[in-house]
Amino acid sequence: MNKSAFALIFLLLSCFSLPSPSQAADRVYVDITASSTRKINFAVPWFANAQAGQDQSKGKELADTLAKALEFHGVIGISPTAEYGGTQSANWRQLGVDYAVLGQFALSGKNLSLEIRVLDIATNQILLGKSYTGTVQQQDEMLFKFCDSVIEALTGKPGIASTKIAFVSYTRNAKEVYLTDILGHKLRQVTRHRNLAVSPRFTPDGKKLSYTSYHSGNQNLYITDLSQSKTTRLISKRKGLNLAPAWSPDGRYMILTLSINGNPDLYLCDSNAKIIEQLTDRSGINVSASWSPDGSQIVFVSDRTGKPHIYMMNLSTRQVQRLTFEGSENSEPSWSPTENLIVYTSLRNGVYQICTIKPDGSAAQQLTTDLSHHEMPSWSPDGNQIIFAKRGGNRHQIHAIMKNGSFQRPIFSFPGSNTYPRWSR
Amino acid sequence: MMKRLQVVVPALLCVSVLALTGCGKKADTDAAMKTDAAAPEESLDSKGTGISEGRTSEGMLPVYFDFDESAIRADQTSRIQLNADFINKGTVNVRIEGNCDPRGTNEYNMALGERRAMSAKKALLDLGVAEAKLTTVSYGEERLLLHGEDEMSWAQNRRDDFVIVE
Repeated sequence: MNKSAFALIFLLLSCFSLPSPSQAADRVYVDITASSTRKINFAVPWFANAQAGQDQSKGKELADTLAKALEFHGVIGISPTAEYGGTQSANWRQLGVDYAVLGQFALSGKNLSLEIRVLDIATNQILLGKSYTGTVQQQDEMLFKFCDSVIEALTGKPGIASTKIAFVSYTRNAKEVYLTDILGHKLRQVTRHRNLAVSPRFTPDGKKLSYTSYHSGNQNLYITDLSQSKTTRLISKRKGLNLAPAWSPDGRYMILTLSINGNPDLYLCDSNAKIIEQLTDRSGINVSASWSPDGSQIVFVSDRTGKPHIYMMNLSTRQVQRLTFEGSENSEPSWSPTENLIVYTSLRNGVYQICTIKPDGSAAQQLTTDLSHHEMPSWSPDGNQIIFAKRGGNRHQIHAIMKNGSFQRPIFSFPGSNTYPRWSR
Repeated sequence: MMKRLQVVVPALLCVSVLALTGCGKKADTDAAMKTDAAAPEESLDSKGTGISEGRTSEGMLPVYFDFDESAIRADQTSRIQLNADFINKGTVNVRIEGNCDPRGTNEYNMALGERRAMSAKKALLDLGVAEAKLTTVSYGEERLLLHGEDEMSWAQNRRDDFVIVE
């Protein structure tokens, strides 16, 4: 429940690059999406306390968090510390380790300093070295920043450790929106309406969160600025539905489902939910829009042919085309923020499975197969992973999976039933 | 709001509130006869049982739907008529709450529940209810009445409730 973790924290946090050999221009990056790639083997031994003889327990905690953040990216495997006793002077080559992360920490009052280097075992050179100073409260933020630099050094694109995940949790007879980090270390309750809140959506800059809440009696749309935790703003209170806005990539528009004209239809609105134009008209249910990264098209759900399926609309011509034909029902589409790939939920033999498809209808792929319901998929900010709610018994838990279907795992476990995950930088 | 635990069993056992009140009166009569004593006179107006079906306010009845459908079934029209009569003879405002079973995805079900609420609203308007007295809201599958994974539970969840609002 640490609110400060999500405030603008990096003011106090300083970061310096340690001297390291300049990175070779011909560096070969790892393709994070190739399914055949073997995982890169990292060892993250316990961080050493710069003040020798002082308490070393912090060093285990720091190493553990960094190892988990690195592993989260799906391309890195971690050598268990039990194999070498957590020491920084193990024989890495013998252990089959590709990179060893050598960290040092110093505690001084409320402040924590970190100095972390990544040693390339094959060349015996330092791949990356950085130092950080911040409060003890900011230790995860510092480790996540370092993790993202390591991922960038390996893949050419920054990692996603320093990101935030919103979801709805059903506890104490209310559904409220929460925010957490990728490891679920810090949990912040965003809404306190003590009622029913659904469909959280980040604005594209990640600074605000829109959601739908019933606490006034009607189902209204709100938006809250995440840099504070006191107020929210009502932006659409039309009679009936005010649901699930798709934010345009530039954050200037949203496509909202409203039922003011007697039917759940999509409306193009400005960022304050003022209607610009009605996009669908009395053709059954129209809901759950998602914008293409170039802003030219949307995908959405409609039951205009009887059952829910995914449709695309070209926003300049308003031409609508059906995208999914496999599966008895298809819904909850979400367009990748980085490429032409759409993730959605497909009902296959009575079970909801996560699938992807290209907007031209090709390369349809089913990512999940086990007989639990997999629902509400949405993308990681780097477009490499998909987060979703997986049902086990009578509750849902948030899971993630690589976009090629590998590395499915629950990413954190909070009490209650957790649904509607959304992910943002 | 979500902690309103509802009495579900009577809703399942009795077809309607009317039937339930009927049972109660019969039991009273039987008991009175057994004691073989003249019961004191009492008012013809009794207090309600406080029990209603689904989450519908007493005096009205919920309306049930087929799977993934929002049209009013033929066997539900008498309930619409009863609700219309109730609203027409009083001064209350009523919120029609559309609900779905948990099959189907959440946002889709939110829209489906809205269509169910709107179907009932249209049917009530056709029976002369003033539009100003009616509002609609959809809870989709967010407020399930029964959590079972079987047709009996699902059928109870596919429902419009009619709730008196101030």
